[in-house]
Amino acid sequence: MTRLYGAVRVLLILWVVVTVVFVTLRLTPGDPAELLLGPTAGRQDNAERLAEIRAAYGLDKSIPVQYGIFLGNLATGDLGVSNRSQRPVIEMIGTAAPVTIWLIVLSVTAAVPASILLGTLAAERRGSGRDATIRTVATVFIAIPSFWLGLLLLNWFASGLRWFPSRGFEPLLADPLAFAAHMTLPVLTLAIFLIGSFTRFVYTETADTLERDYITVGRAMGLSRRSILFRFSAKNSLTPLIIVVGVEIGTLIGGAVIVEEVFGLPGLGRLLLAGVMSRDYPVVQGTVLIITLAVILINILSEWLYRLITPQARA
Amino acid sequence: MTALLQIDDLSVSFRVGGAELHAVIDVSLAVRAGERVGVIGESGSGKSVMARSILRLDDPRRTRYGAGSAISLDGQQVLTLPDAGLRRLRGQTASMIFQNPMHSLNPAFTIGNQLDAVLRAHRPDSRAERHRRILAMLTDVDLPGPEDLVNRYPHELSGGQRQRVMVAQAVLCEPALVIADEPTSALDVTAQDSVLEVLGRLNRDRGIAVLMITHDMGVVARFCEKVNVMYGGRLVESGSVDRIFAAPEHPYTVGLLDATPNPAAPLKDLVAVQGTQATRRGTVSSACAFIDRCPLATEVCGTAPPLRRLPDGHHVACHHAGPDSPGRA
Repeated sequence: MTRLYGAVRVLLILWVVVTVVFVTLRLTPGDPAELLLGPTAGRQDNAERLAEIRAAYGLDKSIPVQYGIFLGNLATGDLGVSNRSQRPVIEMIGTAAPVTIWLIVLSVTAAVPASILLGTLAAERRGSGRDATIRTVATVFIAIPSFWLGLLLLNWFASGLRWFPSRGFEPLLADPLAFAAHMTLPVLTLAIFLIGSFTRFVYTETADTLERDYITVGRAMGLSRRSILFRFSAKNSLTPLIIVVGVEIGTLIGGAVIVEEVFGLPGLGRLLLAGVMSRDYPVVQGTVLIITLAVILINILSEWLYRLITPQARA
Repeated sequence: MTALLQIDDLSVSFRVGGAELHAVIDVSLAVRAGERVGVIGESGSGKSVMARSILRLDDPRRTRYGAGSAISLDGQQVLTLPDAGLRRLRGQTASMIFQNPMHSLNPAFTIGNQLDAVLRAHRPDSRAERHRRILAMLTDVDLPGPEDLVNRYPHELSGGQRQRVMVAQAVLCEPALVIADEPTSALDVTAQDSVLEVLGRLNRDRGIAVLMITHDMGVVARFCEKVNVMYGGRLVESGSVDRIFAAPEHPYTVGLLDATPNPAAPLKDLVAVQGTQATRRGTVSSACAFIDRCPLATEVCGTAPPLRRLPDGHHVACHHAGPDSPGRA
């Protein structure tokens, strides 16, 4: 019963999101057919060509009819074809998604251990210089705008020192070294924001846990500092981090759009942005749908994981 | 014979909001191997701070031990021991049981996991050996079904069960001393009984000394051989339990006994000790700490009385106590 309710809720969210995207796209100025024809679109002799394009993509029909066709296709799993490249949208997403997934997975993988270390070390000595330094750095990391940091890193390490390529992507299996070189700066940009945000969370949770009686008991029984901080206390203060990572995934995809643009990574963010620029309706609608679905699934997964690990929540 | 635990002139103070809070002042006491010694006093008497100092549990950044303070535990100087040595001492030479069993166990780990962490911290035993030892210890503290219990989480246990788990944990590495800081205060009467009984048995069968911190004269009467009475951060009386109950010397001890319910006596005999303890922030008054609440206070009490040894070996810090007391002249 609850499972059915959950599925209905997910479908409802997806429907609301695609509808909002569908409507806002059509409310935004800019005609996809004209944009497709380019600067000559306004000329008299191109009127026929414009009408042809509109007919080809169903843009000549009324908006409610277009909406009906769109939902009907969605129901059969058809995301449509790009107005620009003529390629099926699902295929374009399939090509772009791995780039974004790598970017996010690597950033989170780098940020989580670093944040646990920093947050715990700060919480261990509340009010000390170490605490103040770590928390200041965390706040700065959150405050730095990603696009600016990205440009800065590009400027230093790609243009200046030439340690890394400035643009593009290489699949891991094709050339692991090139993959690493292309991913380093984007991952660093995204991870720095995440480290700031996660460190503050770990700090608050750990500082609270370390005040608990059972921590004193652990010390009185001769547990080492390391096992108290990173095992005994950690299991209590870090399980909620799973939820936070889940919640941050949405923000992270937003960050990925910016980072992909700065570093020229052909991921979902760039696909979405290019789609918006050229009013490529099917691409924008399809990408947003897939991203929404991913965010929902990741949140369900993180809650499930949290429940699996926390004994009280399981009962 | 040297004592297992020897506390000499212990003074402990904390920095609280710019002022120095004197929690413990010049306390000396000893616990010999296998002894059951009580420390009694009201909240704020300094008894818990004294107890925590034995394992140096208070945050070193805000805790100051007075010059001349010394704690010797099994021949080791606790207050000057490096952290690594201190860690070996904790749980292995002396361990501690705390007041609130509801908060003493880590909610994120099973009982077996927590006990195992303690064993691993101190012993090179194999996994199977540790498991056997944990099961045996849980049985020894009267917890039924240990095979099932090790897989349970603290929230699945009652307060009495949790406190017995704490006792099992405390004696897991066969320490010579268990410091029990009000182990029964948060428990109902039946659970209190079972915890005291288990502690008493471990003391008899394994010769583990127990330092019982309590505010309950009943616990002292039932459990201890010797008792130390603390008031205002100081030791005011110490001696055998029989002697104290038969002929208390310090007016505070007399007050404590009058304030202990006795089912055989009429209720009107139950009298509270009037007044409250003076604060110990800033400089400590040179007068006797009990002066404001004492029915016997006279001019001599303007200077704090030292702990004196009476002819029968009993100790008391009061000008008016004892057969040849200066205050009684």
